[in-house]
Amino acid sequence: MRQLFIILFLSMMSISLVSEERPDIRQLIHDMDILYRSKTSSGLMEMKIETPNYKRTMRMQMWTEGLEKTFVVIESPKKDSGTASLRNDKEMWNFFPKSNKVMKIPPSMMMGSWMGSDFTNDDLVKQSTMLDDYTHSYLEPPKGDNDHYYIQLVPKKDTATVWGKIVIQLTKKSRMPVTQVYFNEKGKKVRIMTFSQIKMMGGKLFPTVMEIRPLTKKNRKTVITYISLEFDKKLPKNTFSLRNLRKKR
Amino acid sequence: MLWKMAFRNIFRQKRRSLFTALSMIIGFVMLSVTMALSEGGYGNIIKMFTKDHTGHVQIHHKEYLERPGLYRSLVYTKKIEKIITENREIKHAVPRVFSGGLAFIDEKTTGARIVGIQPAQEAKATTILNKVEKGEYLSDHWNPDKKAEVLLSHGMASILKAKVGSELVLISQGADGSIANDLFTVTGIFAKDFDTMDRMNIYMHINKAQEFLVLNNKIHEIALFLDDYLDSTKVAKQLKKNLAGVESTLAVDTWMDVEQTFYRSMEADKSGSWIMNLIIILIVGIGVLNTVLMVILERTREYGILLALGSRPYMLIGMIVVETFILSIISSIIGALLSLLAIWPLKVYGITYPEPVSIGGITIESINGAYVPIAFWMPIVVVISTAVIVSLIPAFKAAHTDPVKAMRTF
Repeated sequence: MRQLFIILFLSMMSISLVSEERPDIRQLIHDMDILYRSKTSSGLMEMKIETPNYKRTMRMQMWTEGLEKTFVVIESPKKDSGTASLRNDKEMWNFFPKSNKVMKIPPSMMMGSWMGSDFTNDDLVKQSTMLDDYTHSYLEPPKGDNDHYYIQLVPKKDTATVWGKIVIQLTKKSRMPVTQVYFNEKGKKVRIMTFSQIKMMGGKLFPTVMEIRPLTKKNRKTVITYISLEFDKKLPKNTFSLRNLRKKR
Repeated sequence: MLWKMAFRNIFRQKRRSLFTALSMIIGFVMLSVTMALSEGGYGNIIKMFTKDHTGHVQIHHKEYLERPGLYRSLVYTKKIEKIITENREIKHAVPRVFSGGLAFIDEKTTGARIVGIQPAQEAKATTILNKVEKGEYLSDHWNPDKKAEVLLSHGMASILKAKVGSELVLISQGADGSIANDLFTVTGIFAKDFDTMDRMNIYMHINKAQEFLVLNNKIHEIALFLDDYLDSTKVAKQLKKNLAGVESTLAVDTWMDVEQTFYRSMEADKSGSWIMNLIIILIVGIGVLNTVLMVILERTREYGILLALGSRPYMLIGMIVVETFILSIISSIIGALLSLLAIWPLKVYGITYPEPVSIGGITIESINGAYVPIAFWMPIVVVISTAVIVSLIPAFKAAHTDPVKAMRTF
């Protein structure tokens, strides 16, 4: 009798495990998309680039509005200060104050490196959103990992991207991303993005350090650290204008 | 005795000897001129090609040639400079910096090859100064506070619709990972004729290029110019040995390795022209054969008498061969002198092609002869050997004929 009870209990346990309520996948992905953006955001971050040939650290200011608008200005090093990137809807421009040149980034360059880092232009300005440009599905977590959700993103047909798929690992508890693994079209792992240092900043909890490591190139990585970030503040009206991009700072 | 008789024979029938000699001389000159044109022509093309920009020997980072890159650079140290200046055969050594970039003038934009050069040295070593058609050449002094000057190739200028004085924006990747961008002034534009090799080039002062690309004191290439391009392999070998102890990351290559496409197309062209040369050798050989054969057969009666008088057959063979040999040597000397005269106008004026021909990116408008050794030793070998070999056949025949029969022939 007691044995039967135990068996019954265990089987109920396992049923409850399998049928465990998974959060709405679209909501999760949307939260990921706006993790660092909210409605509007403005903040300061530091980008550290390490390659076999050079190391450099940039400090930059960033403003975003929704998912469509992004504006980044490099503050230091001095040589690059004033260099800026603007994305408004489907278009993106870079501005070089030294030569007073605004350069439009063609769609074919969206997957190109941003200012020599391992982040692509697309990573920075979110030309493609995870929510709308990818189809999503839950993956079975590897054995023994009960703390994380694994979500697979496959780009839709007309999404301009170089990734074959992306696998995101999130914590179940806080729903914070831990890693994002990018695969190329042949299914080979090409880069891995790691999130860490979850902190409260601007009234929101999020990982303040993002590290990108390309797996195709040796000894390269780029680390972004948020120094400050504020959300949902009203931004000046012309923040995302070409004129503002051109402004000498 | 043999030589004496041979000499006497030559001068006995002056007109006959003259005609034989004439056929050999004409053959000699013909072959010599052809050789001078083809061999000397290639030599000229190589000289022009290497002088254009390549130089004869180049020093790079060892991985540069295989896959050029911004970081495959070297530092032009005093030690390297010393090794180069100690080599007597090297006339000029010019450092260079290369990179790619985007060039803008107003709304026009195109990809460009950025070339950093030391203006004065480059002008001394190469033909770059002659290429400037509009505006001026780069000044040797670079002032960091002023907008830097650039020199555009003709193709570049026409794509960008550049004029002398236009403002040009260049965007490229700096060696520190930054986006290199700066303003430049177009100071000069190349003439169209010199555009095959450097159609996409933008030239600037090497120090400006180093600053622009954040290369510090690094460069990508040292091009060495020698007195004689034939020494390239030798000098490269020497340098390789001398540099091995100083820098292990360097590679020394000759122009044949650096410009493989050019070299190969040259070699292919050359082997093609050798077929032509062989045909001419054949024609000359047959011409000599014909005359020598006729001359000897004509004298069958004479040989018959000699045999009847008791000459040994081998004496007869020897006499005929020596006779032809002496005649061919005299002809060769005269032929060589005439060739010297004949090649001279070809060397100075050359033969102009109706349409300029391009080999490996160098446009050739005319082919010029040159006094190359092969234009002399080759005809000498051909004329003398064919004459002697050819004379052997009738000589044997004459020596073994029945004197009575021989005397009856006229």
